[in-house]
Amino acid sequence: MSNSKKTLPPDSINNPTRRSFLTKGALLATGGVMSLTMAPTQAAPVTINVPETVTGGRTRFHQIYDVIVVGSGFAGLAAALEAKSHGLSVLVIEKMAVFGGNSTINGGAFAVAGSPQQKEAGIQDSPELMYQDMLKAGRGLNHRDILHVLVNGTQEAYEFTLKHGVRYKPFVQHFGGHSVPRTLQTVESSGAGIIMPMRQSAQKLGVIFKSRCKFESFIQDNQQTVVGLEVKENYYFPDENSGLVKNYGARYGVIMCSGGFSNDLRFRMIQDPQLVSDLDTTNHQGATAEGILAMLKIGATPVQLDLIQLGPWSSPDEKGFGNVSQFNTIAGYPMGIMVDARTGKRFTNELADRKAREDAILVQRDEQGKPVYPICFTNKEGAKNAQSLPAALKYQVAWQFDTLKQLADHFALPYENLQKEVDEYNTAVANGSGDRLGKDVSRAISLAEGPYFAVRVWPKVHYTMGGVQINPNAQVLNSLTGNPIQGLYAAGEVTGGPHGASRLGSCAVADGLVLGRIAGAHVATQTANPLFSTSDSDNA
Amino acid sequence: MSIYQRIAVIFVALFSLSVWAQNDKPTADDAKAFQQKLSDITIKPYHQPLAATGRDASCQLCHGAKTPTTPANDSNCLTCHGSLDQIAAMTEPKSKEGHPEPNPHNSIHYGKDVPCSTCHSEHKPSQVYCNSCHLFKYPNMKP
Ligand SMILES: Cc1cc2nc3c(=O)[nH]c(=O)nc-3n(C[C@H](O)[C@H](O)[C@H](O)COP(=O)(O)OP(=O)(O)OC[C@H]3O[C@@H](n4cnc5c(N)ncnc54)[C@H](O)[C@@H]3O)c2cc1C
Repeated sequence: MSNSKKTLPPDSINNPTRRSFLTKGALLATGGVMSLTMAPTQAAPVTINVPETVTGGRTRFHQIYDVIVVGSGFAGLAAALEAKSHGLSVLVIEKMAVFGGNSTINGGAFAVAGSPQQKEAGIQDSPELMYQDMLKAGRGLNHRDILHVLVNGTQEAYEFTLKHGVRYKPFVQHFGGHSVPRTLQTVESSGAGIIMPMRQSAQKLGVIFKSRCKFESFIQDNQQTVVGLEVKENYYFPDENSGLVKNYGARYGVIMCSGGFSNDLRFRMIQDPQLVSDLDTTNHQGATAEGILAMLKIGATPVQLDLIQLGPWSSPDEKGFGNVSQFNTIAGYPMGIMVDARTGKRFTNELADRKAREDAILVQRDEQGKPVYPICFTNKEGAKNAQSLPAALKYQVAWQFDTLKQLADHFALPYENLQKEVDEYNTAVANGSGDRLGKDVSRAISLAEGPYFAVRVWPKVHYTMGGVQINPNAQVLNSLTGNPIQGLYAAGEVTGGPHGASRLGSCAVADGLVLGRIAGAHVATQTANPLFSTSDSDNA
Repeated sequence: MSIYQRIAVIFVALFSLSVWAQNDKPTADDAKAFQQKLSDITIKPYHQPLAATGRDASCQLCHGAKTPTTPANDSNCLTCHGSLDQIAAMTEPKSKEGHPEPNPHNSIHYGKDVPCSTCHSEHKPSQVYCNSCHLFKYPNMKP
């Protein structure tokens, strides 16, 4: 590959004659009438000489922006909004037909250290306490620099979401592994309550969104600076034969917010061979690894890719996250108990962190190694905040019983054991402490009175703690030098580090929003790449 | 405009397009292979009346002038089926009682932004995208 090909001098890039010629040419090539209607969104491509690179010298860029964000979840939208607010032109690409990735199917639970809701409930909290909790759950494997950035940014990120129209329930929740209740939840009980208003806001501010547009690879110059992307427009997931290859240029940088890889069976099994196909996942179909692989290919540093978290609250009776997961986190675990289906006895602290619970549940197997699904239940009082319960009952993935005896009979549990277990638990609840399995029962309720609501439990692949390494500016670091790969940022689940061995519930929203904002703000401190030193306005 | 008027408008547009297309002079073999391919393609019963004027024209009805290698553009679906708001209104549950199935055309996760072809297919079975996580039952959705 060489530099010697004929190239355009920079100022001819915007030469009007050339532009109109190319536009006509493009119309002829694609066959006419339909393209006419698309003309306003498809301006002339420009061919720029990218100094000798892995991708070749002369590169034709079909579109050029200041910043390109890959992925439309929490991290992507936070980055886009932030970059836009600094006056940059921003494109967000999304390979799926719909926007929002895991973020929009997410439970909408957001850990904020020091929220007004906590103050109102008289709960003392601080970023330092959140740091300690996450470090403990992470078994000390957390990258502390990023963890610091994360916990220090939650309050501001919370306010940022309010500014963009997000609404939260007026109370805080206590999620497993957190030492105090610090989890806020959107009124929709879904991350959609964050994604939808943020996307509307971004659109109003002029951020450009393209769905069915798949990131394929990076375009770098001879300094290894990322100057753009190769994408496939009109891509129909998961059809790899679909789509039209295009090159997009990014004057300031590219921000990879392509999420985790829980739904990438091949890659997740390479990293953790136990996560075979019969373990379901809570993730959307697009949670695959190509984004992270492309970053590794250009030198990014892999972090803890085999640390993959299972959600310990999901149900084998439904697909994905379903309705049971939220019932368990809001009601079943804090307000009820989980028992071994053979003995009727509890076997784990229901409010332990995810890893502890996941490990305890996964060993519930018979002699043949087949799962013996544990039963989790609470009573009516305990279930009063569980919005997903009516749906769970409707689809028969949760069941209602008047008495413990009926519950025991339904699941063929030894009733006497169960009654004894409940009595013992109730005593601890009455005392406010002293639970046999070390559960914090200070906010728990007695299970003496029915009716009861019960579900079956089995973990699902939920979150990939590992990813690429970033620095506190969300710049992706080169594995050989430890220095930032110029022009490349990443945020959200595609990065590794802050969560260590196990992420605490509601800390992924915090991660995506906080680090996404940092990426968007930092890219705005860069200077525009002189390769694109044209006055060409953003043409999409 | 009534739905019939709309269809009529489309047919007029299609007619002019097919005249234009004839200038390409495909060979007889190409034409035969093309016809064969077309007759192998499933058209759902409720769309078959639209194919009455000849199947090659009906491709363009949904796919526009582009060679149909990708699902139809939403705007072509909406030409006959109404606006996104109208479609969403049609599938709004009548009452919130008895925990009805949520409105697939105005969902909590995606609002009215889901492209038609995410769930609806003409040449293969349709699939409810929501049901990768949920167990919704939409008995009125044509398979
Ligand atoms: C069901 C569920 C419930 C959850 N609940 C909670 C909760 O309540 N609280 C919490 O803190 N965490 C929760 N999590 C975890 C959390 O939602 C995710 O970790 C978070 O949404 C990740 O955000 P992100 O922006 O990094 O990635 P995502 O939101 O997944 O976005 C990544 C996007 O990038 C797109 N993409 C990927 N590759 C490409 C490509 N090549 N080209 C173009 N686009 C691409 C994907 O399609 C996707 O839309 C939940 C997760 C799930 C699955």
